[in-house]
Amino acid sequence: MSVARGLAWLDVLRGAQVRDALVDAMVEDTGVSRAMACWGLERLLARADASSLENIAARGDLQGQRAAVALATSVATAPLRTVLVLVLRGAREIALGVREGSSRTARVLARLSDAGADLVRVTCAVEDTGVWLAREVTAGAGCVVVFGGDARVARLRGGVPSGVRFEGHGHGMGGAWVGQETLGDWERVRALAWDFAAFDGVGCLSPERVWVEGSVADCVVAAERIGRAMAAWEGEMARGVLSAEWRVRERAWRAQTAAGAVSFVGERAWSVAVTERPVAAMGARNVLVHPAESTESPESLRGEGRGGAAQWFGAHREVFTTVVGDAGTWGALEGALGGCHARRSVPGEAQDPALDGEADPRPSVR
Amino acid sequence: MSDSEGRALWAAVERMIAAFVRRGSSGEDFEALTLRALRWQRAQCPALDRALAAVTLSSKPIETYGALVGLPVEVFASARIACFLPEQTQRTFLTSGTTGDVRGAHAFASLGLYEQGALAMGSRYLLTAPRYALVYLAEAPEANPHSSLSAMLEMFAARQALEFADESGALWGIREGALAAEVVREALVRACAGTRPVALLGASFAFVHLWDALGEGWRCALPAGSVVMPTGGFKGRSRVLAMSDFFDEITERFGVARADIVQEYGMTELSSQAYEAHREGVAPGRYVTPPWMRIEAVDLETLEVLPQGQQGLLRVVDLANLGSCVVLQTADLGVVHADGVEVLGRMRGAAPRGCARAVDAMLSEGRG
Repeated sequence: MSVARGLAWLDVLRGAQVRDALVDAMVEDTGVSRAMACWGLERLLARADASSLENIAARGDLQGQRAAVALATSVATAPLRTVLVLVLRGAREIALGVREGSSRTARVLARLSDAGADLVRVTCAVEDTGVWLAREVTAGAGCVVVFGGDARVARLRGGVPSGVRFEGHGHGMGGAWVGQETLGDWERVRALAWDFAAFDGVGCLSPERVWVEGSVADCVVAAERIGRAMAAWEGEMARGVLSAEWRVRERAWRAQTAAGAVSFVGERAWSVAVTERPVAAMGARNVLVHPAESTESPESLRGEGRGGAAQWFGAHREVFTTVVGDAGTWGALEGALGGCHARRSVPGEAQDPALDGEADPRPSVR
Repeated sequence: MSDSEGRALWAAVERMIAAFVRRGSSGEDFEALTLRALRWQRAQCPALDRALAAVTLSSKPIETYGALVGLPVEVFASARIACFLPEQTQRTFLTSGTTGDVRGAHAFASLGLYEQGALAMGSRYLLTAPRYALVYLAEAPEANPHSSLSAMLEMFAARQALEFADESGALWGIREGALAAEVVREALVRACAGTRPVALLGASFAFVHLWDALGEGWRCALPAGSVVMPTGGFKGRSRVLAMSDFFDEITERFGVARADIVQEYGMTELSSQAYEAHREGVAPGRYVTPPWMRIEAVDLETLEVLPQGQQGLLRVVDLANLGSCVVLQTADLGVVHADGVEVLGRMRGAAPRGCARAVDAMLSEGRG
């Protein structure tokens, strides 16, 4: 039943006119290029194979339920993916809460309700997302999904009563953890760079930094290689348009980072900085590279103990972390990440996850 | 400045300040001096050089004034921007910040230029009478040696003490992290009974805390010639006042005219200040700069200087900032007019900042 509804949704999404409308909406919502929005949509549709749909539908954990989804301001394929997965899990009605003037993508989805999939409703929760969610729960929503930074997720999670399923999406930190074997292979370096370039580095699953096994000098070499790959991606799929305010912030961020960095390479639409200090990430194809003693040592991820780790992973540690890594390093990573729920990816697929892949997000029932 | 170029630059700025004091011209070429100073600073300070290279995406020196870019002021929070060795540091001013913020640090090997410039501009636009009763809504420098506002106010007090041997000094109204409202009230009442004009200077939000402490109905009439300088605005405060309401309250509470309220535009990362000059016929709300300082509005995207009348991001060229960086890029929006600079506030998305914010945080905590 839910597979049939999911397939119906997919048919709607695959229509040429709908695809154009969604791509336009994603460009407007996120500032990514049209080519990038097309890539995101194509990959999502490609991931929706029969086996994935069956696997998700088999969970059947939302049969007949209402779901409330609080979207972040700027999201690309997240509403599409979320609606599809919720439908497959059995949700009968989905409310998308967005800010006034944001998420044109969600509005396109709501309009599609007239095209045979009458289950998505969009509300502009301008007054207060927490108030809106409380209203949705009172109205019978059995599942609450929240997108955003970990502070927002933690805040909204606190207002959800027990017995209601809560799922948080976003990232406190997304990082790549690579050894010399990856850095020595140009194709893998290119794939790694794509993880930072995709969705212009502002996606929910975008990694922000790379830990490189080795010395600072190794990092400098790695940064140059990653920089070459970023430049190549810029040639193939250029960064979208940043608002003037974001450009100002980016310039300040680059100046701050470069002032304390061991090395800094960059062009207008990308940069790679090597730094030993924990600096906040910028995104937008600005990559941070940090040295790590060993991929075998979780301690090297922690910096200056737990306090250091909190700086990397976000103060609340509510939200899962995207980890790009060589398969052999994942065990060590999970140890280092402690209570943080990590989602694994091989280089090049951080922002192209399987639809029925590892739990995203960490499910919880309050 | 330990090398000959540094000393030459220092001397040139001193000549500019001295000429300003005697209302003459130093003959220095501002733009040439700026480029020369910046080149020297980049050679002295690798962190500055790296930061500017990251902004220009080039390691080449900036050859023309038209190609100038400013160092984003945020860099002071992440790196030591200083053209001298750490052990030569005489004084460090810190930007305001609440818990969890990283505060910017502006180190000085000497406050010589800072003091000369501050006194020259202060006596031209702020403290124009020969002598004042100085009442400061700020902490004394001994209590807060990292406050640039306190340091500047202390310079004003020290000069007055020097000129008038019987001077008893300034009254510092913030003590041990709390507003000493009763002490300030007594000082104002005492001053109102006399004829000596009062200079009531301090962080904007401290004024609001003073009014809150003294009650709705409290009023006084400051003697003729008094001046009030609130500095810092209300960015990110627990209580926000429209500036027009704020000025109305000052005039009502202290019995002064709008013309007696003089605002200052300055920041921890600078060594010079701009002032409102409406007492010299300039429209209120427009700031004038001394000859060794320029405020320019630049395009947010290209960083090119905009023509007068167009809104842009404010860039400050401050030649007295020889020990750190003479060209700073702020996140303030503004418009440059023929007679002065209009500051419109922080760019959307930029973190609130300013010394008054620190005072507000401190006083709010003090009140529990």
